[in-house]
Amino acid sequence: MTETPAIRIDNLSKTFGRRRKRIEAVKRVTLEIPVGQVYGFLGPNGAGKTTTIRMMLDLIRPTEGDVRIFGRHVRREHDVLRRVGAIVEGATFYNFLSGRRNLEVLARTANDLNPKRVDALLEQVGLAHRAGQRVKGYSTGMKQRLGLAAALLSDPDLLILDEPTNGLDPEGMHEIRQFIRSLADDHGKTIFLSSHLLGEVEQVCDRVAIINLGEIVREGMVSDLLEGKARLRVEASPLDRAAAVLGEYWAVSSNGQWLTIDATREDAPHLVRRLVEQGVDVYQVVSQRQSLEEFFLSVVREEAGRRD
Amino acid sequence: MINLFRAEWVKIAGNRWVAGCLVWIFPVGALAFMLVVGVIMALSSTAREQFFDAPTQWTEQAVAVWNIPNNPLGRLVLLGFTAVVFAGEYQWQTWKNVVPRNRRSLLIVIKFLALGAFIVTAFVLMSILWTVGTGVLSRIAGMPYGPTLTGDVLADFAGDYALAAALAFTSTIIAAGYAALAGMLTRSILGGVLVGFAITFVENLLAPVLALIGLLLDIPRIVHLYRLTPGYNLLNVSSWINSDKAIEWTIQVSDKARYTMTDSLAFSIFVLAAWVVGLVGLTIFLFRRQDIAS
Ligand SMILES: Nc1ncnc2c1ncn2[C@@H]1O[C@H](COP(=O)(O)OP(=O)(O)OP(=O)(O)O)[C@@H](O)[C@H]1O
Ligand SMILES: [Mg+2]
Repeated sequence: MTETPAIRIDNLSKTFGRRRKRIEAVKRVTLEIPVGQVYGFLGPNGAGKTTTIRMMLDLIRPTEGDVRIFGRHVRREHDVLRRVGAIVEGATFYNFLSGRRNLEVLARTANDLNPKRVDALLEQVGLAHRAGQRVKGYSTGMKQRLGLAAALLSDPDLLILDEPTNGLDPEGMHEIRQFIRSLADDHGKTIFLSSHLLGEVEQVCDRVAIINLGEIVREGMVSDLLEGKARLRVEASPLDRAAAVLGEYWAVSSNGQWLTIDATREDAPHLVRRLVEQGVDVYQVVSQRQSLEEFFLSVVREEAGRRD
Repeated sequence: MINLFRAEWVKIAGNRWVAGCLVWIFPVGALAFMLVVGVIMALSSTAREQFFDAPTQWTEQAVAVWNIPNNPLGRLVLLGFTAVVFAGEYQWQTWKNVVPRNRRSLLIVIKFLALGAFIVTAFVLMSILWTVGTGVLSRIAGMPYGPTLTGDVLADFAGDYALAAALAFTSTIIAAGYAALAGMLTRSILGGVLVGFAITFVENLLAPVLALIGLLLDIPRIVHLYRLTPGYNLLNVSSWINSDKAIEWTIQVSDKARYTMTDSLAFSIFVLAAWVVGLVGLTIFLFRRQDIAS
């Protein structure tokens, strides 16, 4: 028997508005996130990330479909959300209360206040020295950190974070990413994080789903998605002759200075041998791994192209 | 439950500016008033002679304070206050932190309870300050301040006091019901306050409006619907507590049709209970179906 997934989303859709103002924000999304992974939910602005997350947290009702967390239906067995910590669309708090007071209020709301834990969390997210101040005076980054502390209050098994590094400076981003990674690696937590920052997803996530215009367009391990997307860049002379030789084996394109070949690093020796056999001088062969960013852009453009 | 209640309480009391201006102002104002009058009376013999035209009783003073949250003006203040508490969760986008960890109906019920308890606490404080203050002033003026405490007096007083406090609680819940509905509709504090005021305004204007409708449609008896409004019944219960008789409300619809309403205490309590159940129920019903997005 396989382990119950941390999150299971089936055929989830959400339509806002009626008639001409109708927006299909999320369309038949189906996903399964195993326990213990850091899962990236990647998409451009307006793709439907936050809307999906709101449905996962039972904040809005799906037009269709179901969300199960640890095997429990979030609408029908709402209590399962006590095992979930979340930040949705930026952290917001009661401005007139201090950071610590805000955490205490949230802990009491969840019926489990442990002052030591509140202090420890404030320390962990680097807010201990400002915890007595009203949130009104916090910067965006400080609020985001407080949001992370709030999400961790009840020591949840699953964290759902909507753009968790939004508003942080580069150092803060790095720190928070490491923190997120360690939550999964050292504490066995499952993390679902949305982002429009591809580098972020590439750095911290095990798996990723790419959402665009409300639909999942790709899903898989970060490494698998990138595999087969490798390219070699070849500088050789004469170039047209090289192109003719390699064109028999691989897809080749030329920009007049070098050739770009859809081949992996492993193909390089074979490729060089072919060229040398045919009397072509090889100056340089560089393996170019396509970044998630390029991949993402190509996927989004591909989708846009299909639509036109 | 206790934790949830305390969380709500901290949110209500912690909004110091709003709680201060709309709630604490009553006990603090009472204290300030007593101090100022006390100083004036200590200094001026004319003031000492003229301030009280007749001796007053502590039993009346303690209960009279509770008229504030039950009259139309006091209800507007309650409405503004409760509107901030309900609509604030939308405007500050804090529902999204709170809702996933709780059942929505429980959240709403506890919010109502905490609001009612908060207002009652403030007015208990005010009534103590007011009653003690009036006692001090009576002494300065050389007036008696009865009645002497006996079992009968105490039993009678306790009954009236509890009823008055319960009425203020009810009034708060009804104001909070209007405010919650307005806040859920507009999702902003200002919108909540304005729509809430509008509902209260319409309620207060209902008597002349009904009279007009009655006249135009020639069914003058329609003015009796006014007896079902919260405002009328709050005043009626107040009147029963303070003077042991019904409030007499006369509406003249036309030359022939003139109605005087007098209703029993039980009738008003029943109507108010129906309003509380209805408003809280409607709020829960709508909130359970509502999308929390902003
Ligand atoms: N309450 C709402 N009413 C109407 N339309 C909405 C509502 N919430 C979201 N939408 C629409 O749904 C679509 C998806 O929005 P969503 O907030 O989920 O995007 P997102 O992926 O989180 O984007 P971002 O990266 O900008 O946060 C958008 O077109 C948005 O305008
Ligand atoms: Mg978003």
